[in-house]
Amino acid sequence: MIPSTPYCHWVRSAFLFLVRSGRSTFVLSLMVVVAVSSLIFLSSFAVGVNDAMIRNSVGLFSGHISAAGLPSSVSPGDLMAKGTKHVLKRIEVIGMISAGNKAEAINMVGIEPLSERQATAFARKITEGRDIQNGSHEILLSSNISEKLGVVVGDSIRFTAEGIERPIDLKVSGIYKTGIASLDLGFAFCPADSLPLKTYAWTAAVFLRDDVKPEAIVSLYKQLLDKDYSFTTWKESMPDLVQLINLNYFSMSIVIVLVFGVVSLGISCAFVVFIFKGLREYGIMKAMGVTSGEVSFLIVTEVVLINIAACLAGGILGVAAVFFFSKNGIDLSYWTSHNQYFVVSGEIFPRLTAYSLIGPPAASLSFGLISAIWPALLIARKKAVDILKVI
Amino acid sequence: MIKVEHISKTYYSGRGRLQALSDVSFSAEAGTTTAVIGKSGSGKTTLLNCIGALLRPDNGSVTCFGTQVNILSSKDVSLFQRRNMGFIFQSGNLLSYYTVFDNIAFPLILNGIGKKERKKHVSFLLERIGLTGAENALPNELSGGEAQRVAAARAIAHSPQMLLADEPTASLDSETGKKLIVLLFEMTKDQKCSLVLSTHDPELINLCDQSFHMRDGRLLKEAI
Repeated sequence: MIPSTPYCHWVRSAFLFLVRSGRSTFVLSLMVVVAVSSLIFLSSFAVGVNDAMIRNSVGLFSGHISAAGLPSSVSPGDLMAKGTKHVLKRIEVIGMISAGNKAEAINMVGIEPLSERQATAFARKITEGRDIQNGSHEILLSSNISEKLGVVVGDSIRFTAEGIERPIDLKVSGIYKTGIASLDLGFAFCPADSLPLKTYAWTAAVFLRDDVKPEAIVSLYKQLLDKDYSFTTWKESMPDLVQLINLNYFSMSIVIVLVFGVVSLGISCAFVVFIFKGLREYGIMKAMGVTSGEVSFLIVTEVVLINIAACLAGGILGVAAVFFFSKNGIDLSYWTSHNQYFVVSGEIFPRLTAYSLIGPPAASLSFGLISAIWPALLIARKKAVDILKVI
Repeated sequence: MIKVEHISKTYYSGRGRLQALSDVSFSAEAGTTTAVIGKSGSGKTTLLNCIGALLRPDNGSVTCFGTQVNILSSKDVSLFQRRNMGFIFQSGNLLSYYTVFDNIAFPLILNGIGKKERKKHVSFLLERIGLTGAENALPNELSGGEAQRVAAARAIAHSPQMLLADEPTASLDSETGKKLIVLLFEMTKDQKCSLVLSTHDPELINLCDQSFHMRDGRLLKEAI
């Protein structure tokens, strides 16, 4: 009985073959390294673009989750959970603002200005004057409403509403323009403590980390709070954005598959050439009594080893690039400044996901193995004498 | 014993039909040396390949030490070859990414010889072929004669019952070739191994126990 050759011998042989085929191994590895690192970066960039659109859309004002009709017994602190960055308390009162003989129906939002500045990018949209201050009797108007009322920064206006004890006079501290119709046409902002309310219900704007799913936080709230309050995630309030993100993922997936296809074809061809480069060696081995199965195992091991090494290097390079740009960002403002989904900032911060990290190396390994099948089968089926005759 | 009975082999190519072997029969006792002499294209290599089960003859049978090798399955042929046969080709054919040590040790690994014994045996063979100290050299660092000596050591390393050498001196100068032949004969004698070699060199007839002349795929005459 002839013992079968230990697998470790073939692994060692494959390793020696790769090491001693230095230049070919290097060129082939380089292809895999570039492909894997590029694709890791590309897919992370796609995630970063989607993150930026979400961040821009929710970061201006609405937050990832909004809740309406919360009683004063519930505090913003009650809604702070793992994964939440900020919980903003807002009190909305529908009323009239008037200046001289002009008046406009308005949804007045009482806010805590300092917290708003920390959590939202709304203050960046002030085109004239400045933001409202805590404890002041000031109002922030949209440019649209200020034009209708004929007021400028520094003028006073009067706000009246059913829910407040008395009309209040507010000084226009600033004028904003967001480019988003719902915010520019019907809202005005003042410090919440300047509204003399008897009783009130408040709305919450919850801001999350990029990697936290809003549905998970909503379900947590439902467990924590005794009453079933109405929470709305950004996905429910902005279906257009959801569609756009899905479309973006779909388009990016097509791009990635196409890139994979082209790159993999190159890698496959290189692997075939690489395997046939060792044809003579396989022929000699077969003449010495190495079985077809052992030759196939050797070829597959070579492909797997070179892939593992190159994917590791490519992975490290890709992750390093993602890490660098996730800290420094990629400013695409030039191409996004008029886009409502990049209303706050055109900076993209690539984000690594499990798919971005595992997908490209897995694809490389799969295509490498697929490309190894044909030459492995061919060499395994070919007689040693035929291999040695043609070289 | 090696027994070749009525084997024929025909190749078909763009150049038409080529009868490489035509009704060839001969036998060689265990431990003997046999030379197959003939010009290029006479069928020597095809005959050796058939004996070594690298080729399957169209007709006839090849029996090596009780096993009819021409009817074995591909896997069984490989297992038979690794245990019972050693090959030396015209130009070394060492595994280029293995060191000299690894090349000689390769058939021992295939036959499941342990590391310690392997090392001892390879060192002995290196000394035998006069290449002590060259164990870490790669084949491309060896001269033609050295490479053929390593090929000879590799072919004999696992103590095969049969050594097939296809014009082993063809790529060497006459002096180096003679030294290699002497080494081959000594080594096969030490191991009590049957040697079948093909050559152009008629001088080898005197060194072998038996020899055959081949022309156009036929064994013409036998000389003892």
